[in-house]
Amino acid sequence: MFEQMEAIEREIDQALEEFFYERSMWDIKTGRIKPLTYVTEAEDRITVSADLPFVRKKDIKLNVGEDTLEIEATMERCVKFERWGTVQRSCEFKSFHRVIKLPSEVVPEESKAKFKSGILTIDLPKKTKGYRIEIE
Amino acid sequence: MLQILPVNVKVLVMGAEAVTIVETAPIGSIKHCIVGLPDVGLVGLIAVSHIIHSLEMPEVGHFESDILPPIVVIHKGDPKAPFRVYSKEKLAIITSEVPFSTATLPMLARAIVDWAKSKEVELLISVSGTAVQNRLDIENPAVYGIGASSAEKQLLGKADIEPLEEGFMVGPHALILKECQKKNIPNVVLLAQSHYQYPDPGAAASIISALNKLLNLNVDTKQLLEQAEEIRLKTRELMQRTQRSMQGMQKTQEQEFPAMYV
Repeated sequence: MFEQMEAIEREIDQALEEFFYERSMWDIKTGRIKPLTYVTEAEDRITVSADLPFVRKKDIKLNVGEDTLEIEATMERCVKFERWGTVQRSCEFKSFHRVIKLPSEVVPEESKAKFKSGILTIDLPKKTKGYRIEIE
Repeated sequence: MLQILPVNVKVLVMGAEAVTIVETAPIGSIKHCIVGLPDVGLVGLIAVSHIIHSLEMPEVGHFESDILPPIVVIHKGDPKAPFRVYSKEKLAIITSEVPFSTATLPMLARAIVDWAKSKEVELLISVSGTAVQNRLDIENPAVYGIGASSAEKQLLGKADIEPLEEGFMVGPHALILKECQKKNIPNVVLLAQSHYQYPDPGAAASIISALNKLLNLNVDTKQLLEQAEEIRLKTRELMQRTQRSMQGMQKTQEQEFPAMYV
């Protein structure tokens, strides 16, 4: 029972730390929002997806380096929120922007991307692929 | 006229009051109680938020506990607890604006089920999402149901809700199901195919359609689908926090097949 209470205490401490010190997902000055992203790694490729509501395909710019991926996407209209966050009364957002550090080096020229239902999926082949061992 | 006095349901741990449901308005007996919490694709939360809004359900109570994060939400100038109860006529909804840590879940599940029992709930319905890798290829997400007993399985059958035959359930709804079985409270879990890591209003609309059939709710999902992009944008940060909470409870196990075949 004491272990359970200690576990609760640790999780509350962690939640508080994240709540107060975590970096915000939005920047009022630039009107940019960080999109939700998800990175998965397979033997020979890395797949990155991003949720981009209010974005159309033509307004997405991708910049792939050997170990970074930059996503920039303009929204089809400025999105204004009358109440956003605790302090700001109202603010306007016009684009998404995020630079993602990739877990392995990739081949930028062979990367492919598709955009469906507001979700961007980028397929990035790894530079060093796993070596297949022949079974004797 | 019979006056119903507010009743607080308490779950006791180590002699201290761990979770208390404070009723701020009189609540009589409840026929159906829906639970929608931050979880896979925020499906349950988005679905119950839309039902609360559509049916204009008033807030009637909230959860209080030292084990919950020390957060107060301010809506239209009013400070509110993030974990609240709404009710209208014989329907109640339990929802939260914050995700939960794994360690708090057993106590919260017990508090929800004990409160449902005290209100003589005829059916407790948990709503959530089940992550599918090909979600982008699915236009109308399917909804699967799990019944705590054969009577609830029959209810699901009558509502044309496909049963989930094999799989894992991880998180608050799994604990609620176990607790309901233990205390003999009728319980069904509805899971819509959804994104795991992105807010999924489309999956929430499927849940509402299933609830319409199961409970004769008659809640329209047109507005929910029209506002889908705005909902996705506004719930980004909650989704991110919920993802971390799901990692803590090993939620990805739901995408595995159970090893037992007996």
